[in-house]
Amino acid sequence: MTPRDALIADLTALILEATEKAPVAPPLSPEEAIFGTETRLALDSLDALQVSMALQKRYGVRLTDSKETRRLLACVGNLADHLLQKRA
Amino acid sequence: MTGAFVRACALASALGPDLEAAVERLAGAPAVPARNTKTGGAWPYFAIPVAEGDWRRRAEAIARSVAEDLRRKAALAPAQWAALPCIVGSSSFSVGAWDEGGWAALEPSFDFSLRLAKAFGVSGPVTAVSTTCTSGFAALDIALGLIAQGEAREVLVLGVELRNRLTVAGFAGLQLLSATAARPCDRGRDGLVLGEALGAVLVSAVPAPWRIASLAAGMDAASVTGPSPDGTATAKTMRAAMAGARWESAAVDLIKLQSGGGPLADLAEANAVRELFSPVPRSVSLKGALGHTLGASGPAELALLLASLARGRVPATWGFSKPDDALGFAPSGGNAQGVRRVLFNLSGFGGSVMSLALENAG
Amino acid sequence: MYLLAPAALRIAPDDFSARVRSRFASELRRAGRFAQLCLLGAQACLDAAGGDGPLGVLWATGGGALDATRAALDESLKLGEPAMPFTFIATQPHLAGALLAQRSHPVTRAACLSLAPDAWPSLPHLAQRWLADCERVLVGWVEESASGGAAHRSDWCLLQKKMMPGAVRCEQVRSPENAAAATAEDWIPRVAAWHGSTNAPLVLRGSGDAWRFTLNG
Repeated sequence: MTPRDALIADLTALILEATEKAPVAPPLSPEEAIFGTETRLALDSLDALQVSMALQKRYGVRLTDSKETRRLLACVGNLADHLLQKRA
Repeated sequence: MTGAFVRACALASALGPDLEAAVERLAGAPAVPARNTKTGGAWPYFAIPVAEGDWRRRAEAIARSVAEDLRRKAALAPAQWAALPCIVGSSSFSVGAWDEGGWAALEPSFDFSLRLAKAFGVSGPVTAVSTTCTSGFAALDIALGLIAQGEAREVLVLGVELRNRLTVAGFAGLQLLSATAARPCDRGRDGLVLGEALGAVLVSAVPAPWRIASLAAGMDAASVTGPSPDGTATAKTMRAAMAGARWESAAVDLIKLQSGGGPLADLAEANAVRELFSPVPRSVSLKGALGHTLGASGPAELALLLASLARGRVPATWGFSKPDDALGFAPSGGNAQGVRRVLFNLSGFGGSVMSLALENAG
Repeated sequence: MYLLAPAALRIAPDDFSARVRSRFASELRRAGRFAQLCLLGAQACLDAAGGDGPLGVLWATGGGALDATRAALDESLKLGEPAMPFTFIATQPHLAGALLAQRSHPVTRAACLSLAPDAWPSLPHLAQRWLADCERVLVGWVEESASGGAAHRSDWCLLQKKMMPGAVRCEQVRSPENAAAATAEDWIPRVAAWHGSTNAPLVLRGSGDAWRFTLNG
């Protein structure tokens, strides 16, 4: 498992736990959209706030701009790449 | 139509420890709230200028001071005052006591309301009510019921929100706060600034200059944290308040806006106002001067507005300087001559919306 | 004014999550325990009462949203550090009204009260006043268990203007004879226990006045 794969697994678990959502089957793919009523996870703007707070607590990253948050949280892969970039 | 009147008001707020000081202050230059207060942490916060200290003792001291002012203005016989029912609206009650005293300091909302009633020297039935930011008007609604049903001739209505870290932390987590200042209706608005207040309104069946013509309640469940963008529920509630008062929209002289400086919430309310009024009457927001005092905001803003109007002034909207074309109108203060009918909006998360119609009988 | 479907729900703390999941699946995520408890009882009452039309929701509590408040305060509220949004929202006991509205009930207003134990008649009084603007008012008493052994409680009934078969007539009585003293916590369970058990009216007393409950037909 690459560091990116491991991070994606962690982030997926964090998002599900923070938003009190049950895991979906088949599991989310890293590129699968997670926001919006048309997606399987169907997260909304309140979920985005909850996830950004959970990210802050776990990884120390602050996402305070709502547009930026929405872009980064488009899918788990996006978010993982952002965190890896921050760590680099 | 109700047969209830505003007999007297009193207020402790960031503008001053009493209502007269607040009105005086409001007529002067706007003051930006302090940052880095103990409660506000990194955020600006409108604190009541009463010394810090034990949370509960401070709350009681604020209540006694507001009570003294209200009692003097109300001029009721001592036995009448002592028998007053007391309805307390708040979104946080005494949760601020935890900040210093931990778990042992927390008490149920009813017990804290009894404590406030005692500080006011009243011993009638006490009720606590919570509907988030409209709590103070939910308390007023219960008071109007007691008067309408002949259960009481006068009722004490309190809206209270006192310093606590939980509310600041909660609003910060919801990204609803401005890091600088509250700018209601302004093009550059970027969020709310919270504040504390204790607003007291004595409602009476005995005629007084301001009659409560109607109080309407509504529910906006589009989201639990904010209004629907088109302002539908707000418009419906304002319309219900005007229908209850038997007013046409052209009869409204002034709208007291909910507007606290939230980019989307202010726009939603403006959409509702524009749907109902053409042209839009004069409007004012008081949250740039008091902060958003949440459950206290109804009684607190009512006290401040009526005291300003009694001095012949529609207050300026502090924090507002540049109109926002998207809103389609701008608040304006100045001479209050001719202001006889006021529509007064409140809304909060959890979907509660209220609108009060006030009429000056002259 | 008529009363329908009085019910006293008791849920052991260990069973609570399963009850919420079985009734609401994941619909009530991010609501917090107090709002979930409100909705379990309120929805059961609405299911039993049937009907539609504009709805007010009025309930009382002693402790309010205990679990969420504890959780929010436990999140080590350092100066300026934000609270988790779901936790903070769940500290507000008034949330259940909006959640019922989101479940397609036509809720027009809601309020959560705290009262002196003998002041329970305030609830039917206020409901009666609300009925000027809406057709039905759900009235409840909700209390989270404060200790491990005690059950969570969610007691509800539906008050409405319209008479229906099986509905109980509710009237205020100024000078009650043979009225039993009731409290904010037990008046709905007492009405529920009485409902269907006898044809004799039930008269319950609180501070100031009393209410008579009479079976119709």
